[in-house]
Amino acid sequence: MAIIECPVCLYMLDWEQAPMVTMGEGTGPAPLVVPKDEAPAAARMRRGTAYRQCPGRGGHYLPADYGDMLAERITIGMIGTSLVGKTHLLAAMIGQFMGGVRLRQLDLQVSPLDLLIHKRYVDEAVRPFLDERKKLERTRVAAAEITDAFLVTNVAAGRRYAVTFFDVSGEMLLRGSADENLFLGAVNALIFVIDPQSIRGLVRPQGSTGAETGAVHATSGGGSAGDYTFDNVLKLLRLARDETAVEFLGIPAAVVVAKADLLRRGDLLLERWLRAEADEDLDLGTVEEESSDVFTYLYTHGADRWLEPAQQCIWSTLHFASATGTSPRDDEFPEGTFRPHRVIKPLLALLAMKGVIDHPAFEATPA
Amino acid sequence: MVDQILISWSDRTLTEGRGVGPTGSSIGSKEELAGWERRLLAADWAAAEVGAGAPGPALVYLRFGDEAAVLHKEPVADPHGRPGSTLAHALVGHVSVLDARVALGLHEWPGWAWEDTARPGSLGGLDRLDGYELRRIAGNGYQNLDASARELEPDLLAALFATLLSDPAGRFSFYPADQASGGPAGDGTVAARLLCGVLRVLGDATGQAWTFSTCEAEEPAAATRPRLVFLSQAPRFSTHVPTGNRARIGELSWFGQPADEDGSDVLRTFGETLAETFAWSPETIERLRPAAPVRSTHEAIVWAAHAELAPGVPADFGNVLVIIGRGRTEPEVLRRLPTRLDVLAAGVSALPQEMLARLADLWAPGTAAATSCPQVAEALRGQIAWRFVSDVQPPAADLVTKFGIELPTWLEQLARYQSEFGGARLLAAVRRVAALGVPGLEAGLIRALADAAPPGLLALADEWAGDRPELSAQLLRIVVGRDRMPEQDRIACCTELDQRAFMVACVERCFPNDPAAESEMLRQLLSVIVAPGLQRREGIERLLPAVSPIRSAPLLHALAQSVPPALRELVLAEAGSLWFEDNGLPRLDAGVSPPAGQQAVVTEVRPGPAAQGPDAAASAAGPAGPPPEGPTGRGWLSKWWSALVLLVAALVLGPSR
Repeated sequence: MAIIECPVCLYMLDWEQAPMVTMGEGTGPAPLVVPKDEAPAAARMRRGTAYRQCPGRGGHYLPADYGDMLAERITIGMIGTSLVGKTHLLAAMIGQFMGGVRLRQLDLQVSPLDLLIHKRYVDEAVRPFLDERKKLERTRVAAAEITDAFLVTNVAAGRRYAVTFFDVSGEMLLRGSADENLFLGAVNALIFVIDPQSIRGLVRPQGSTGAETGAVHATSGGGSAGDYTFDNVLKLLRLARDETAVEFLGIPAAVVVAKADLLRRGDLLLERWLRAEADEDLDLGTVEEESSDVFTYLYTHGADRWLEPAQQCIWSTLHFASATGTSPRDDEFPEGTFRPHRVIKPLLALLAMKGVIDHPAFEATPA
Repeated sequence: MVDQILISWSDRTLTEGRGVGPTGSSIGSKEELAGWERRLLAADWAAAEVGAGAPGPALVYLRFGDEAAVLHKEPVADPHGRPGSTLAHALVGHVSVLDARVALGLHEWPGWAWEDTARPGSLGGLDRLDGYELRRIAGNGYQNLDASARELEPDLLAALFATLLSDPAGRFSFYPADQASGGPAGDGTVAARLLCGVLRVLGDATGQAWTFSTCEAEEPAAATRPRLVFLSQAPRFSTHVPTGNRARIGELSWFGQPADEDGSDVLRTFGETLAETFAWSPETIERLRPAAPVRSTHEAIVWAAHAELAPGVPADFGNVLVIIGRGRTEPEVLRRLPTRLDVLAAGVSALPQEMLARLADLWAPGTAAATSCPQVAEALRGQIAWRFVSDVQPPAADLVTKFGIELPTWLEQLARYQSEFGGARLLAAVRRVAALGVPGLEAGLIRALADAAPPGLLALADEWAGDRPELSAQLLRIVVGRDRMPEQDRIACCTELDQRAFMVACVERCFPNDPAAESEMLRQLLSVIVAPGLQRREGIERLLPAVSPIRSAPLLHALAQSVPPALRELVLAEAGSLWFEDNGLPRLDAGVSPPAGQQAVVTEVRPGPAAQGPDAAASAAGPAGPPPEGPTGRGWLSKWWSALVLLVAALVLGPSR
């Protein structure tokens, strides 16, 4: 019997016994019917694109491949309060993650774990953002749902991973209710997103954006208070993992200073990374240096409260990144300056910390 | 009282959060406000995006135990320009104040906060609202919505009702049938009208409160979702198990367990019936309501199969008539008609006026329907005639014409009317029917009016003398032909004579250029109505001043013949220059006996509320009248004198004289 923990509600699911359904777009779920005399290839395709129904929390469906017994399940949560840039960062990150050619140099092969989930995310986030340079809508305050999922294979080592992303609304994380954030119990890798506008003195004044800085940092844990969602998530994770009494939370985290294009330029800790070559974001050998620089950068700007994830998580990396490279004009980002920058590196670092990517810099990092 | 909460994106909400939360409120307690925030945001109601491209705001009604919330959501960009946000204005309070009807009635409430009137965060404190006043406003709004809902395409509502009844306890997500063109489900206003139809037609039939949202971009994933949610588009792919049945708006979807083809047919037909009834006569819906709430598909089917418009009359009776009227006369359709005539009549009588109007062309004489089901056509004609005669839901004259109602039907209904309401009210009915100009009505009317009250007949004769002199003369003959006239009627006739100048003009029209006939009719009238008072000198002397100014030779001629021969001189002297011969009347000499054939006048004292005690006759004659002594006694005569005194007084004092 294969018991799998549902990443949405933590229900312990007897995978083989869970009902299977198919889902046509718009038509809704229907029980999977595989004719007895169907060709094996057709049956495999039918089953491979079906879903298992989890009965927990009102019920939801998990991709059939999520229960792949030969794949390790990695669940990544995007953490940060409302408007810090989680959604744009993840869209840019996944946009680059999907372009798998570059990742082959890291021996990674990436494919969607579920076609419909992936298509939905591409249609609603990746394509509008990367292709049409549109501002994405705020993440709905709604029950947690898998945002996107991939089957990641380390072709050199022959290991497979089911990598799942959760991007829930900042409001839910801010409320810190266990009931709304059950998915955190299944999360085993974190991306903390820092909005530099929340930290006094980090961004250069630019009209209304500059004026906005003061207001933002004063709320929701801005300024010296940090980001309350970080505290809430760390606490819920310690409770979920029963690690309240230990010094470190046994989970890897990538801490990203997003919207790096807004930062005041001239600081050497920053300039090296923002001016780095395009391919540098695949170089995991520089992660430690970048982490050190970002840590120092934040600390020296009085943003030590934002360093809490790095302090509490036993493995952590820190990064500068910009999902857009520019500020929007109305509902769009200008074509000439729109350029996602260094967005893939935090994800690669996280995967390295999880043991998906083999790299000497992460050899000491247990998966 | 009703509290208000404004919910929008803010860098700092009233509950110290960042993001979507309360930015204005009338609730003083922070804990209570936080509680409402949890309720309204946990299930994403206040924050959920209104339908993409939705032409208007969304209206949401939610219940939390004995408390309720009405939300008005407008899609806005947040202060940082990010789309996909909402400005939600919530009214929260007890369900006794905020029920579903109130919620719908507020669909166009001018008090809702809009983006341009209520910038998030700028309102601060809001005032509590007077629940009574809010309900009054909502009541008006609901009435407008109800009228608008009745104009919806019946097929749209029919499918909606049938779909809901296929799973009476279920929750439903409706989305546009035509994805390309959007459709009504994406329009919150249309959704509000559809919901109004649901409330009005199904009401409490399912035993559960109707909670709803008129426009959502996404199908709700929360188990606490409202029962009815209208989506702006087909549900997108989601890994959440659907929280309700999904149906395209305007199409019947079956969610009953187990799916039953017969049951589906029954519910589809019943849905059509409900929609038609709602469109034509929402009041009739009350007749169709189930005795107890229907909570399962089976119970809904039983209700649909047994709902009756009237005892023994199926709920879809009106629709069946429409179907037959449109030419469907095959046996399986005709079988749906009641076979017993009394049940058929009951069914027809239960049809709303609008339905009868709809049937007029379909069941007119000569149509296939009227030919193949003559008993139904007759029942319809009878019903139309009855409503016209009785003036209850009176149909328009053109409707009467379309149905081709013939004389026998009119007379039958007039007789029924007289039987049910008495002769006193018959004349009004006759006036209505006569105004239609039904061919051959006169002869029939005379029969119908044979027992009508004489005072009314006099009035009617006077009215009709100009246009229908022959009919008028016949009415006068009915009056004078009565063997016995109740005392009350006779007194009332005196009043009529007084008010109508002794009917001189009427009689003149009835018998043009025939003074002798005029005189004879007037004599008969006087004999029947006034004669007892003309037997004594005092009576004649008091009457003459009223008669003389009319200067009617036939009247004086009639009067002269009506008095005892010994007193005739009094009248002849009064005639003065009006010599009867000069006016084409037979000469009259003093002391001539009454003409042969003049009938004896017998007056009947009819027992009545005022005539049942020992003072009955006195009451009839007035406060000063003498006690009764029987039809021929002294008191009886005195009473006549009293009546005449009253008559004369009226003649002298009446301004119309």
